[in-house]
This record gives sequence, C-alpha cells and structure tokens, in this order.
Amino acid sequence: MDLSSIPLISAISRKMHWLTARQRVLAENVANLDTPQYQAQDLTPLDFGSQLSSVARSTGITIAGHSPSAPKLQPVMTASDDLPALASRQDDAPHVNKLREDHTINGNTTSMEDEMMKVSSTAADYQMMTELYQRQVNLFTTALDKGE
Amino acid sequence: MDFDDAMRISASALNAQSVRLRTIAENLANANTTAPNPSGDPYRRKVVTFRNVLDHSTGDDLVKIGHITYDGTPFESRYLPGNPAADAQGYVKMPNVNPLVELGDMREAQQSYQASVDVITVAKNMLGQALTLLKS
Repeated sequence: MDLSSIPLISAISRKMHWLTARQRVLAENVANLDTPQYQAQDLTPLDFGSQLSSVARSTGITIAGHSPSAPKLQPVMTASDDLPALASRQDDAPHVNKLREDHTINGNTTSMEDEMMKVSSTAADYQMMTELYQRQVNLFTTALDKGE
Repeated sequence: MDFDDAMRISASALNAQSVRLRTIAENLANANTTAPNPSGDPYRRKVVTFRNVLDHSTGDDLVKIGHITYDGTPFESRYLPGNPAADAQGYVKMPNVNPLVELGDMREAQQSYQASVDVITVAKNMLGQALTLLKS
C-alpha cells in the first residue's frame, strides 16, 4: 500500500518537510542575532487546509468544507520589489523571504523574541503533525486487526 | 537533513559567542593593566566583530568571527605619581576598558548563547518526535 496516496498522510509529510526547512531558516536567524547587516528570513506560510484539499483534488477525493475551487498556495509578497505571485506556481520547495524592517542600529533585522516564538510554534506544529500521523496509522492498524 | 543543518548553524553561533566571551574576559581581566614604563601604552580594549559566511558545501549561513580589532577610544589619565608608568607630571595612562560596557556585552553574549542552545534543544526534540513514528 502506498501511504503517500492518502491525502492526509501526503499533506502531513509536506507540512513536516516545510516545518523542518523553517526550523533551519530560524536557526540561521538566531545564530546571526548579533551579525551586522544580517537580514532575517522566513518561509512563505504553508496553509495546511488548502494543501490538504489540493492533494485530495489531485487524487479525486473531495473533503467536506473545502470547495474544489479553493485557492492554491501562493507566495506572499513582503516588499514591493518581490516578484508578483504566479497563478501557475506550484512547486513544493519552500520559498524563503527576507524581512527588511530594521530593529537595530547595526542593520540587523532579527528580533530574538520573534525568532524564539517562531521556533516554539514550529516545534508545536511539528509535534501535532507527528501525532496526527500516528493517529492515522493507528486507524489502519485497527482496520487490519478486525480483518482477522 | 535540515535538522542537522539547524544544529550546525546554531553550533557556529555558540562558537562565535564563546570567542566573544573570551575577549570580554580578557578585557575585564586587563581593566587595570598599565604599561611597564612611561613611553608605553596600557592594555587596549579588544572588540569582536561577527560576520555571516555562506558554507558552500551545505548552503548554510554560518556565523564566523570577522576580526578581533582594537578599540580606538583614547586612554584615560590618572594621577598616580608612584607608578613606574607615570610621566613627568605624575599621570598614568589607564586602559580604555569600561567594566559596565563589558558586563552589558557579556549579558548580550549570554542571551544569544542561550537562544542558540534553545534552538538546538528544539531541533533535537523535533527529530526525536519524527523517530517515535517508527514505533507506531
């Protein structure tokens, strides 16, 4: 059985991929808290709901509460010189944005409080995804046990 | 693996902050070090600068120590006629180290160090959660 053909499992693994990549970007930000001229980075937010319905659509399943015409994942524009969002953009690779507001006199745009909040919310989301995955797998085990 | 990268990046920050703390320790320890004779200069405060280095093999933005430079602020003179470093008028040049500035700097280094340690802990926990999926 191919687990990735199940919409929820596929969406969970995409979200976990995104959270891992975000943790790496946040580690860079925290490491460079005191580096002059460093620009803080963050990934474009990933909407789990629309991600799930887009996976479901590609496998021909409709999820209640999500219309098939739900908007697809779009890059967020953080500055006027960013490229405009393309409707056809559908890559899975997380898109890194630079934050440009200055917080300190040395041109560094990171803020320790913001970064630590992001780190902890990323960890909490990751835990939620692993638990969701476990629940889903437990459902399969239950179903398989009853087949005896 | 992104978690390994996250930990490597944080480790580079820990390294940079410990060099900074070492420099602060040098400055504080030498806050009263004068020259052995009137012609010499006393201890000059050292300053650490950080820089952002791209590791080409992994694509990570690491932190490295840029230069350890000397603080150019002028020395303070103090009237100590008995000191071997005193000039003809009895004044001695004292190091340009301000202990309060050093202590503030030390706190900042400690905070940044703690933040990087926290990131490593969180990354490790996330990795552990992913590994517990094997048990289900």
